[in-house]
Formats: sequence, C-alpha cells, structure tokens
Amino acid sequence: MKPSLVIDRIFIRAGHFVSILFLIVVCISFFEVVMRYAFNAPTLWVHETTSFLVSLAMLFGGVACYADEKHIAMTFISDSFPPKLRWFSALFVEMCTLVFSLMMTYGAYCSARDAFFSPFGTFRMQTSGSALDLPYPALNKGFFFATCVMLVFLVILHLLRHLFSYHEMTRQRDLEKDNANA
Amino acid sequence: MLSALGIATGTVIIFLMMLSLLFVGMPLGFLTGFIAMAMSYLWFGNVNMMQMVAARVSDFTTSYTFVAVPMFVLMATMLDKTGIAKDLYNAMRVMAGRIKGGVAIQSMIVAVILASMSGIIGGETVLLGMLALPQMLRLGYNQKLAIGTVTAGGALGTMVPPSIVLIIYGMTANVSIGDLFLGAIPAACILAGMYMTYILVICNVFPDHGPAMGENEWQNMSRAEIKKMFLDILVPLLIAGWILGSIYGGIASVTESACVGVIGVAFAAALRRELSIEVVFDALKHTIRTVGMIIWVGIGATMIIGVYNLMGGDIFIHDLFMGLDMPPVFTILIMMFILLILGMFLDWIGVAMLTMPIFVPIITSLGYDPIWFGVLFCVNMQVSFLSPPFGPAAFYLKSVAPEGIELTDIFKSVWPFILMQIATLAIMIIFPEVVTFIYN
Repeated sequence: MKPSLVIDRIFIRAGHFVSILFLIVVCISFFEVVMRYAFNAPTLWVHETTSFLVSLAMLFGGVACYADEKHIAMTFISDSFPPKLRWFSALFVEMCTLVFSLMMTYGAYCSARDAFFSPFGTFRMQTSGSALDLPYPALNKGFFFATCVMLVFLVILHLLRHLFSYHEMTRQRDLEKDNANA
Repeated sequence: MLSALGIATGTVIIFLMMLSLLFVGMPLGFLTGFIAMAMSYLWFGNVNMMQMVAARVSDFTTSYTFVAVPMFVLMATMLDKTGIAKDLYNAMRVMAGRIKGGVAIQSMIVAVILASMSGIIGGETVLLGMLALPQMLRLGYNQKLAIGTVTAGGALGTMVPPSIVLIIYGMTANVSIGDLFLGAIPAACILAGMYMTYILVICNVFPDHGPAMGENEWQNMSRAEIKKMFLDILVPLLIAGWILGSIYGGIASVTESACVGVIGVAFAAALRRELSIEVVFDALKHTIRTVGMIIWVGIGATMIIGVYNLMGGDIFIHDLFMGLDMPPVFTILIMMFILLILGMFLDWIGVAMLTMPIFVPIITSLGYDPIWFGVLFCVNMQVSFLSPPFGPAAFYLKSVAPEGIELTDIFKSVWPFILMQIATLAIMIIFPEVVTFIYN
C-alpha cells in the first residue's frame, strides 16, 4: 500500500477509537438521568462534559471522514467530464479546500490563542463560568485548532497524491488509445 | 474591498460561487466554508473576521442540543443490528390477511412504528427494502406501488418523533424541540394516513396492483407463536414509549432521551441475546462515520451564515420579503418553493442551517408560529428525501433493491407519494390548527 494511503488508514482507525467517546456519553447521561430522577441528586459535571466529549468526537470524525474521502457532495456532473477535465476540476476543488483549511486554521489559531492566553500574554485558560468552571471552552478551541492542523496536513497529502495521479491518468489514457487502435 | 458593491451584488456573487463549486463536485461543507472564509476577507478586508468565523464553529460544535444527533444515529444503527425490526415486520403479517394491498398497508404501519423508535432515514428504508419489497413483488404487487410504499415509508423515519431534522431545526430556530416533536405527530398521521388510503383505493380499483393473501394466518397459529407475535410487536412499542415517555414525562431532556434510548435498545438487544461487543463497536464506527460527514456541512453552513449576516444579508432578505406587496401566506409559499428546490440539490442539514437563520425571523415577524413552520419544514424535507436527482431514500433503496430495479424505476414510482406530501403541506398551510392544536 502507498504510504499516503497508510496515513489515511491511521486516521480512520483512530476515528474508530475516538467513537468510544459516544459510548461514554451514553453512560454518563444515563447516570445523570438516574441520579436526578431516582435519587434527586443531579450531578454538576455531566451536562458540560457530554457536549465537550461529543464535540471532540465529531471534530475528529470530520477529519477521519476526510481521510476516508467520504463527503456529502454532488458529483454527478463532474463524473461526466472527460478524464482530463475531471482531473483539473478535482485539482481545483483540492486547491479551494486547501485555501479554506488554511484560513480556518488561522481563525482557529487566533481563537485558541485568546482562549489560552490573556491579552497580556499570561497563561490562563478560558473556563465555562458555571458552578464547576472547568476549562472546557479553552480545550475545545484548542482541539478545534488541532483539528484544522490535521485537516491541512491531510489536504496537502491528498493534493500531492492527486498531482502524482496525473501521470497515471495520461498513461491509462494512452493504454486505452492503444487498445482502441489495436 | 467588495463591500462597496452592496449586499444585493454580494448575494448574487455568493449564490453563483455556490452553484459553480457545487457543480464541479466540491463537498458541500467545504464549499460553504470556503466561500465564507473568502468573503470574510474579501468583503471586510480584515483578517480578524476569520477568528469570528472560527469562534462560531466552536459554539456550534459544543451546542448541547447537537449531542442528540450522534446519539439518535447510534440508537438507530444499534437497532438495525438487532432483529427487532425484522421480527416486528414478520409479526405484523397478521395485518396483511384478506385485505387487498394488505402487505403494503402492513409495511406502512411497520414504517410508522419503526419511525417512532428512530430519528433518521436510511436504516428503515434499507430494512423495508430487504423485507417488504421482495415479498410484495413475489405476491404480484404492482412494482411501482411496492417501491413507492417502501421509499415513502422509510422516509417517515424523520417525520415521526424523534427526528433529527426537527432537532436541527429547533437548534437553529431556537424553539422547543419537545413542542416540535408534538406538532409533528398530527402531520405524520396525515401523511401516513394519506399513504394508506392511497394504497387501499388503488388496490381496490385495480385488484391486480395488490392482491390479497387469502387465508388469515393467525387462525392456524399455535399458542406459542401467538405469544411470540405479541412480544415482537410489544418490544418496539415499549422502546418508542420509553423514549417519548422520558421526554414528556419530564424525566429527561431531548438530548438525554436519545442516550436513554440507546440504553433501552441495548437492554432489548441483551434480552434477545443479540448484544455483543462487535455489535456495539460496529454501531459506534457507523455513527462516527455518519456524524463526520454531516459535521462539515454544519460547520460550513454556520460559517457562511455568520459571514452573510454580518454582510447585512439577513436584513436584505428580510426587507426583500417585507417589500413584497402580497399577503403573508405568499411569503410562506415562496419559502416552501425555495426549500423544495434546495432540497432537490442539497442535503437536508445544509438546507436547514443555511435557510432557517434567515427564514425564521421573517416568519415570526409576520406573526406566524415558528413551531408550525418547523413541522412544515420537516414535511418539506420528506419531499427532498424522495425527489430526483438526489433523493437519499431512493439511493438507500437502490442499495438493497432486487436486481433489475434501477434508480430511474424508483424515481418513476415515487411521484404519487411526492404529490401526497405536497398535499399535506397544503393542508397544513390552509389549516394551521391541525398542527398547532396539540401543543397549545
């Protein structure tokens, strides 16, 4: 297998492990319902923790889906393009995705920076401001930045793979031409 | 800076960019995000806008309501991995009996019961496609009627509460999801009732479309078989009651009820000795894959709506609708038309998150009820599940349909059902009371 495909697989497999977070969320939410309803002793931490854990799992799931090339897209028009045009349109799409992911990374970086450091540059994590006051907002913004970095990495990887596939595509076309001539 | 062009031109630019990027096959989530980022810089000429856009994403992903979406997906996938739905279908055979079109009616009733346990489409359509469709074809049902029944029935998954379409609507429109669920019940009843009436009428006018089965099977069933049949019908009803009961009994929030539902399904699966580590892990894998796909659509839509509203887009569209010299009901009709068209090309979550932040304020300022509008939206998305060229229900059915049934056959079969969905929309617009009475 090509090394770039191996990297994709690593992200997909990691996604499978991350999905265990959903199971944890189910269990702690059920625990909360039981504690509140049966024992009249609601917890303080479940509500914030569930949205935090699910946001982590969803963001990483997004990265894993990109690695797996699973998208909600309308491809029936581009699929009907001739191979060369299709290659170029796919290249264009990858470039736009790269621009998007780089800009999003910059935005996520700024928002993570503000969540971890005060305007004077001292370290202080932004907290949720609830009774528990956990630093979930800071961690979430930090993880969103990490997600963006992973996405940029994968987009560059897929872009390079696409560029190298040009040679394969032209060779395949020549082969088809040869077959047609023969 | 593009802001000199004015918002009307800006709207056209965004629209044309969306259309062209959609056509070259760019994923929906990335193209909306790309346009949002590009416009945030080009329109305002300020890099700090990108931070604002990114901050919106954090708010969206950490929304507590959104937790319900992966949980309902997880519940539905776990349900698919058990035999609960299959046993329900087989137990409901008694319904079929001597009625003309009985198996189609049976499939529709099963579809409604399954929909009350599941908030998504997909699993249901696949299941009906594997069980009901071959049986109807074997009995000599009209192929179009059989396909239409299965596709429209499967799509009911998001119409009968719980429903992730209503959850996303409630989240973007900021209204009570509990009320939305309640309001969807009469709408779902009208829709399913219309489907069943249609099946009965067609099969009685053209008896060759849906022949009766002959003998009533339950007459020569043993006691043990009847007991099993009752249990097979009871379990799904208990699960559905468990979820809705936890919401309306004031025990759990909608988000928690999804988690409670997962526990309920796992418990039922354990009783049936169908619960294993593999089943749970398979369901988790499927969940993260589904959620990973929709999260980009959500992120992209959040970004572009945020930027568009800062550009003044919400006020622009608001004034555009208010400037129309027409009765307010025309605004509703225009919006429904826009949603129908968008639904043909975009994924429902994209449609909801792109249009609702703009439409809902207009609806409320016209004096309409946003919950009623949410139910209208939900019925409208029923059409989008069936309508060509991208009706997801049709694609799900194609993946399991017997050989020889092509996508074009499916799309040719669903139009009577689409007409009934549009008729339901019309009834709800003319008589809003059919929806509003239940939560008022």
